[in-house]
Amino acid sequence: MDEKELIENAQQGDTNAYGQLIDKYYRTVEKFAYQCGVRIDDIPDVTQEVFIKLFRFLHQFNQERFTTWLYKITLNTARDYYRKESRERDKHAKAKDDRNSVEQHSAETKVLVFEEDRELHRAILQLDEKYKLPIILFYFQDLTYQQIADILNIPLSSVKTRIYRAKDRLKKTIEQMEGVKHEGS
Amino acid sequence: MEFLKKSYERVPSTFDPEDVLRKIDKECQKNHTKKESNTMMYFSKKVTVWFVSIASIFIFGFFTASFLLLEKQEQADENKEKITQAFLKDLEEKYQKERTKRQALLKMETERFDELMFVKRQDERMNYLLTYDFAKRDATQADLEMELSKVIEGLKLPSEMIEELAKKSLEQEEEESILFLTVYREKVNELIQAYNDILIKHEEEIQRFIVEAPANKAEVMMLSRKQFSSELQNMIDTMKNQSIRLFDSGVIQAQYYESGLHRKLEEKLHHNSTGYVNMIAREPFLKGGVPIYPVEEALQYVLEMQKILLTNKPGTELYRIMESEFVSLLFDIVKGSEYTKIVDEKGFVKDEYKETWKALSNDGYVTPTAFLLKPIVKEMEKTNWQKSASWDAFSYESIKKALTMAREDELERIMYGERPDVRDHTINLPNPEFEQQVIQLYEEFNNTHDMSLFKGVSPIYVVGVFNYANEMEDPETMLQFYSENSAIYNDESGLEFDVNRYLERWKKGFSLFKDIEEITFSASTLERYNNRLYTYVQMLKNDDVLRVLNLELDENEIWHIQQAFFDPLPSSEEQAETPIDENFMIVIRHTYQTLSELESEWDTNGYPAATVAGVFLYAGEIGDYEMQYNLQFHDKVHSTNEKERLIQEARLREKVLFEEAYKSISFQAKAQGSDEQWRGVTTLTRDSEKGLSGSKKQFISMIWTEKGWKVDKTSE
Repeated sequence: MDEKELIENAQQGDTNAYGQLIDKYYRTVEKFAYQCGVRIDDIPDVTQEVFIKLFRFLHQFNQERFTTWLYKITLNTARDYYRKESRERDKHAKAKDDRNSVEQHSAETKVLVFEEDRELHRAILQLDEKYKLPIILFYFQDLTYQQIADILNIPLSSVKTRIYRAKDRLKKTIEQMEGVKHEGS
Repeated sequence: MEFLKKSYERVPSTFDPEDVLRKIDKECQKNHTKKESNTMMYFSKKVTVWFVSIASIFIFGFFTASFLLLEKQEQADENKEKITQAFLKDLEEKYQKERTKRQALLKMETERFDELMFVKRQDERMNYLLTYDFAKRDATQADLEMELSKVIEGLKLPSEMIEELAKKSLEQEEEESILFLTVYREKVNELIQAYNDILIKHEEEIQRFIVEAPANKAEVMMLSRKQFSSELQNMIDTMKNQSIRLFDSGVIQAQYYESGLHRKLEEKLHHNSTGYVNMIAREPFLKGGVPIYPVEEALQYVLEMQKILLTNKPGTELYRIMESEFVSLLFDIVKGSEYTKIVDEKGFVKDEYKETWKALSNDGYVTPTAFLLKPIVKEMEKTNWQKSASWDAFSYESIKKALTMAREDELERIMYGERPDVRDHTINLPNPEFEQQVIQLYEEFNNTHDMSLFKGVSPIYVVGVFNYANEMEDPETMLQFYSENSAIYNDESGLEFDVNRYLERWKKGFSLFKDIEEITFSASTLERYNNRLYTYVQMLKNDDVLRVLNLELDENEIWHIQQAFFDPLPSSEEQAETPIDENFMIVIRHTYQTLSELESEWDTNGYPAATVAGVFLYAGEIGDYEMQYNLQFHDKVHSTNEKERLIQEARLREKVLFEEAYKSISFQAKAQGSDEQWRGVTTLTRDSEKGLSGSKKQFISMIWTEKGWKVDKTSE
């Protein structure tokens, strides 16, 4: 069955077809979620939520734009995660689970082995969303400008501008991070 | 980027697709059960509600107001064409043409189309226009043409409204955005009502249409429209264009959904209307008293709506609708209903509601939900989640009252008492008097480390003394200022804070006031989180904020530092001997590429000195002498000719294969020189195994500038 048929069948309620779609796309969702800042131990939950939401809204999809929807839903789910996350880790909150933090750090170093990678990853996460997302979608998801424009609901020209500015800001963020390393401690 | 992209391949995968499918199956079964209980309720509650909203009053008011204006302008436009019967007839024909066009777009029967409220309103306006005694008012044809265009605007379908919005964005217009949405929502609701009337009319036909589970009847109906009578077919054909679709909630109903067209709303309207855009896509939250969303999702919507209700201007139609939705949904979540059972058979609050209430009570901010739920959770916990007097007293009225108090800034006082008297404060630099006061405070404080000295003292002085302690290389005094919540005690390493480690690792940084002309604090930036108030002090130069310091006010009215970043002194930089291998060269090539893409100023700020030296040598290896020139320190600005000459000289030098010639690199900065320059030395060790000639070590003298490290000169 080709992808179009899979989507059509899934839209009719064929869970087997939907299972095949999940198999095809779940790695994309996992990686994209991580790139958007979802922590490693939360990726399975976020991925699960994405595919449940996707199924709920499946009937609305235009088959040609399935991946666009997939990215949008992942993005929204990751945003919701951010919101929860920001509450949990609010800068004012004192309580902090050190053990989790150590585990998280250790898990991250297994994915991003080199310090440069970790630094760049963190720098990207520090960018404003309007810059962060185009750069992730362009460089790490290999999407075209048009696809990015569709996902983010912005004009094509804005995609190009934002990617250009994102690179510039990324450089500044990395510089600031170098400064942070020398926090007055 | 390419390396990082490859690294992302290592993101671990523990996701179980089977688990998702199981949950979907479970959800389908649950919905199926719910459908049966809802069927009767829908038909018993089906009531046609026509209402004249604020939006319609506004539109009509605007219309009549423009006529009043016409009266005031009597005789002002004598030369313009007068109204004739022929002109009025032509006007009416134009209107009818536009009206017919909309009816055709909806493929709706005349009787039903005539009853659409937004169509009726335009009919009334048109009638008023055609029967008005213009002869007495001296109105012109142009005036009436203008009025007609407004009437036609009112006829436009929701889809047309969005198409026009796409051409003329209202991103900068808050009031117009909200008015637009009000009218849009009203038209959508009128269409939904009309569609539901059609569905009721054809109820028997729909009931005869049997769909086997687990297929969704609404979905199948939309895919099989040709099997229905023409009115249903036409409705199914056109409703999606208005972001309305069939929905199976036990009975088939029309419902708005988040279509591609709908998403354009958020993009083209003012950001303060985003919450309303979302509300339109999600409402109703309760249908006939039955919650539409699971409680976990409803919690998010309550919090989102609350945020909007506390930040947006009240008084609009949409605000009132949202307030009503918020009150109903919050009440349902907390108090439950016939359809929302919050306690189990034994009379204990169910786990999902315990969690939801806790989340509502613990958001940390001054909100109606925190105010109302804190006592409920506290009392419930004392009785093992069975009883609470506050829960008994919880009502629609108490929610509304809490919202009012929050809007009037009364809630914070009730929850936390009066705020301390904190005033705006600005200091311009240089300022000898301020500097002297800071020194005095520091000297008094560093003997005792008694923070009560700073009770009621402006946060700017706290920052001043903290910064001065850095100048005096006194990390122990600096430590006293950090709040217990600060990043210093809760850093990302996961290691427990240790004073000795802190003192060992501490290094003096540049003054926070370096290059600063103004230090400012505004009391309006105060934000409460639980028992404490938070703010920030800004440091500016030419009105640009160069640095920001976060502070926290404790219960004793003493400001503490939350986070402080000092730019490192160049003298603190060192790099241990590092092998020049492929990993190192990846960094060098990447840095070279980044620097090559810089279009203007050569800024190596943030790059380690050894990396700058490495890029300098790599640039020589690949013949990029202009890059080499730019990475060199020049004590004066060269003319184009001089620059060309220096680049030409470099071109004539022997090429060194950097990676081949050297096996390691290190860097050590020096203390600031008597000439106030910051210098350091990069040391390269030759690869003796490759039998290369020359000294064993090569030294590159580096000099630090405001734009980062630069190469001064090389020597052996």
